[in-house]
Amino acid sequence: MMMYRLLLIFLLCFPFVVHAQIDYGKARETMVLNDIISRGVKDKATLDAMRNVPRHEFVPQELKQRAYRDGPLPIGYGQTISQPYIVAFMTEAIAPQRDFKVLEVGTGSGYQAAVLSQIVDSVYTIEIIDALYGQAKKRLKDLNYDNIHIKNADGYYGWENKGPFDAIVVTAAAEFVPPPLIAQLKEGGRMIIPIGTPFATQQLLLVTKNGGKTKTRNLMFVRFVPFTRGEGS
Amino acid sequence: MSNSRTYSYDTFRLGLSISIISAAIVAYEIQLMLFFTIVQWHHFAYMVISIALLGFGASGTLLSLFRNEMLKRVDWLLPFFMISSGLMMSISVRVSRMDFLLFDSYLLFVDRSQFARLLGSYLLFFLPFLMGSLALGLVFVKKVAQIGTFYFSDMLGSGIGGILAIFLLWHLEPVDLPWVIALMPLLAGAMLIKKKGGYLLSAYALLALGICFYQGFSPFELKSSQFKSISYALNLPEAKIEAQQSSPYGLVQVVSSPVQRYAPGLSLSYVQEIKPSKVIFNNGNWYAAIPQGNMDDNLHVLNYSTLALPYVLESPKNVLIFQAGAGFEVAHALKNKAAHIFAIEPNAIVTRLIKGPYAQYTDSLFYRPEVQVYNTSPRSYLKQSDKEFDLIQLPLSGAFGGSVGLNALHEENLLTSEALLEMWQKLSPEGIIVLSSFIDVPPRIILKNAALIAGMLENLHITDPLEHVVAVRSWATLTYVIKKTALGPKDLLAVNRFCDDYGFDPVLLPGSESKETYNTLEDDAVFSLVRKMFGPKRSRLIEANDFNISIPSDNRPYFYQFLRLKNIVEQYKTLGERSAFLELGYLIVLVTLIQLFLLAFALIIVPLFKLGFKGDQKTWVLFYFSGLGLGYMFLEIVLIKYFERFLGHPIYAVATVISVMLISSGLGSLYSSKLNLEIKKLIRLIAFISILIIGYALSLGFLLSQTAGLPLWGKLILTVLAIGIPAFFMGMPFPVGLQLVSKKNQSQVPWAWGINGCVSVISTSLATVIAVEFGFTVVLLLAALAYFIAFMSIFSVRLYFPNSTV
Repeated sequence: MMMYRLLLIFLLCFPFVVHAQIDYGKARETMVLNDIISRGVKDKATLDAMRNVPRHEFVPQELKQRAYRDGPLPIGYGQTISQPYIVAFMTEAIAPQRDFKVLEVGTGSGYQAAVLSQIVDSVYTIEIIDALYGQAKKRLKDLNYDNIHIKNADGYYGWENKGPFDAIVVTAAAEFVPPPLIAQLKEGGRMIIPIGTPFATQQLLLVTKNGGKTKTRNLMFVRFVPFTRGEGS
Repeated sequence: MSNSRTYSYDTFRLGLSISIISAAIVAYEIQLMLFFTIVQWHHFAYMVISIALLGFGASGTLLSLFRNEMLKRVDWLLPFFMISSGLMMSISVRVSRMDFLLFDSYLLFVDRSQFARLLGSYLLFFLPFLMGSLALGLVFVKKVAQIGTFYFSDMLGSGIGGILAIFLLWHLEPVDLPWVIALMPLLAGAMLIKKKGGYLLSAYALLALGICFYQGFSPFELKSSQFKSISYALNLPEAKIEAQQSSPYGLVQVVSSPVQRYAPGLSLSYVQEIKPSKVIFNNGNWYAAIPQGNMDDNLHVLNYSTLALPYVLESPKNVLIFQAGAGFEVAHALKNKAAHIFAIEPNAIVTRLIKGPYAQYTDSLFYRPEVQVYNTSPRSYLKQSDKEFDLIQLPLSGAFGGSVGLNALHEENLLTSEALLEMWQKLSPEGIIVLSSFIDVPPRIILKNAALIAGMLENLHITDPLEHVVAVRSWATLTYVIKKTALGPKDLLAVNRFCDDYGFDPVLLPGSESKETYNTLEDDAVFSLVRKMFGPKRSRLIEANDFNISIPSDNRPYFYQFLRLKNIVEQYKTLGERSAFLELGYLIVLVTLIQLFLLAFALIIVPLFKLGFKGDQKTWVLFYFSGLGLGYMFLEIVLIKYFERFLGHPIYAVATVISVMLISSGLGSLYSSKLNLEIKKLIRLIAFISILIIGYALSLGFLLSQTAGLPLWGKLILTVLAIGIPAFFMGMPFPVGLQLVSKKNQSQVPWAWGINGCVSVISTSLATVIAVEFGFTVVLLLAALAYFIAFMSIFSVRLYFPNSTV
């Protein structure tokens, strides 16, 4: 009878034991090695940022144990915190430099802004949903990200009085690119827009501005089998 | 009072009570379909039908296990089950919205607990159907000598329930439907409470009534999944629902927000302001943006998108716009000087809003003399109209960023080879058809559109299809324009200029290969593939593609179904768990099918093993009743699909098919009870049903397509005949078979009931999967085969019932 009681107590405490035993630092390092470097992300600054930013602090409490899994997670209001690889891919895609001023439209959990803030001079981030703005603001303050400036506003208008920006990340993608954002992008700057549905972001739209022409390039996160397969068969 | 009078009165009262609860069950079923469509997505409708049938099947099992105990207490149990059914109907929807049970199908492949929540929802919604069918089953068992009469009452009530549901959908808000419908089983149960000793039951009925009215005074919030378009919209600053109307078309809501905008695939060279738009949602899904008036403003955002391509090539005077919605494309056509615009919009509520409260906002767009709006289905309009059009515009398809495949099981009757041909035949000599879609990754829609167009041109024996097609893409959208006459140098020049002005790239345009590219895809080979779709290798390319990009037809109109089951494993290896979000809709149906199969087996079949199966002739019972179950449901599902296209609306089609089938089957059952069918005649009857279904498989689609242009009254008559005739005959074999079984061995009756219930449950989802993979004709042929199996089973044991009549 005693054995059964002990077993029952153990089983009840098991989730807490397991939870307490997660080494987030180690999980982060494993994430960088297995899910990011192995997929071709090379930029040292990006990799260091991914190692340093505690992703588990940016997800809901009940999902902390899954923070370093290779996938997006829901954060409420139909939004997600992106898959770690995609965050790293996007960060590398803007070729961030120390003196960059970056605008982010769609703060969400604040994770992308936190990663960028490790590399660039300043990050200006806009969140339109009140509740998410409030949560992100508090989180970023508690974690001492003091080179991130956040506001609760319509991202359509960008942040005109702080522009132009070396890079713009538009995570809250719509089916149009707001003209003010294009105007606030520096000549030679890069705007990146992950496009896809929640949990299935498939591509990154890279917008560049050179010599008065605005062009786009679509980058894919996942290489599908070449579309032309079958032509020769 | 004589015994016969009392007997007639009691029979009438019981029959009426059965009709009322049967009507409530069907109305509740249809109400649940709408509920799931609003909070989740429409493919859960199949799940609802299966849950209802699960209730029926499980009730048969319970009746067989506890038959004697229940029969002893029938006077008490009958009203108790009915009242309980009503009680469960009134509270199930509210309880399902509670945190511990709330499920979101979008998270099924992200959060494992969603499977348990889904299961919990099945069980919760299964209870009202279980209670109701326990009551019905108890009557059938108790009054087996009058089974024909009471089965007829059941079927008649069920048929009326479908019509009642439509009526209630017009007049009640979705949150009020459950408790209002629940009043009916309460009434049915109250009618049967005996005066002697009925105080407890009366109190129970009053309690249930009180709970019903409480639901009415304290309605719950009907919130859509956080991943539906309306949820995103309502999170925007100052967002509010400023208008709402429920009807069989769905729950139409207008959301306004000063930051909500619509400008699909807008050119990056556009520098003006994009005005905020109010947006119409239907069942929580984005439906249409409302164009703001101010007809002096010449800047229409669609002029800066690839959707402007047809106006670059021509100045069309007669323009036909499908799925006109709130008139955004109508306003665009007016900006481009169209003289006559024929706007087809199936949802009459949307049109009423634009003509009514939003007339001023749109500057009376739908009252313009150039504009005529028709609330009918596009295919019906094509059949009815004798006009020629300079431009036929299909709605922008797909979704920005790709979709997760939640439309995979939605029949898209505008994007089939037959539909495109009908449009071609309505073009004026210089006419144009335009198809636009969002560019999806991996590319499926753009390739399927190319295949569809190329296939049509090939069928028209056009030797060089690329002389009739031009395609242009932006960073987000791709537009195909099909021209009846060959494109000339002037056209090519105009397209080139259009592309240069707005930063677009030609995909199909002779001489465009050396142009500067504004929008580069990482693997631009996909556009080479688009070009090759118009060549001789098309079939091979379609076959070799990882996704299903075969040309849809009216027999298999699932344009948005791209999954190839054989590639699931490969896709999972490439994408991991994200692969589920390529074809979420289809996967949900497969998951539903598996879960329901397991539930049906656990709740219906397994308990019957406790009874054992005494006697011989197991095989014919198994094959006969499963054949009937499968055949009936397969036919019902296909009829719903056919008549959705024919009648032009899903809910009307479902209600009509269910009502007509059940009423006709009930009449058939009543007729059979008076006929004293011999075995020989039963065998011939089933063979006849099988042959009739084969006839339907070969001809019904054709017949409906030829009569799609009939006026509504004509369509309804044809609908009643086309459904009623087979259903009448199909109502006979089941009760006759049950009576045969009960004559030889009473213990086999629950098995018969249970097998039929179990097979019916899984047939709904199974029929959908087969229709998607192989088309409606195959489903009908399988239905015929199922009846043939039933025929063979009874044929093989005919000697077991020598000279037997029922």
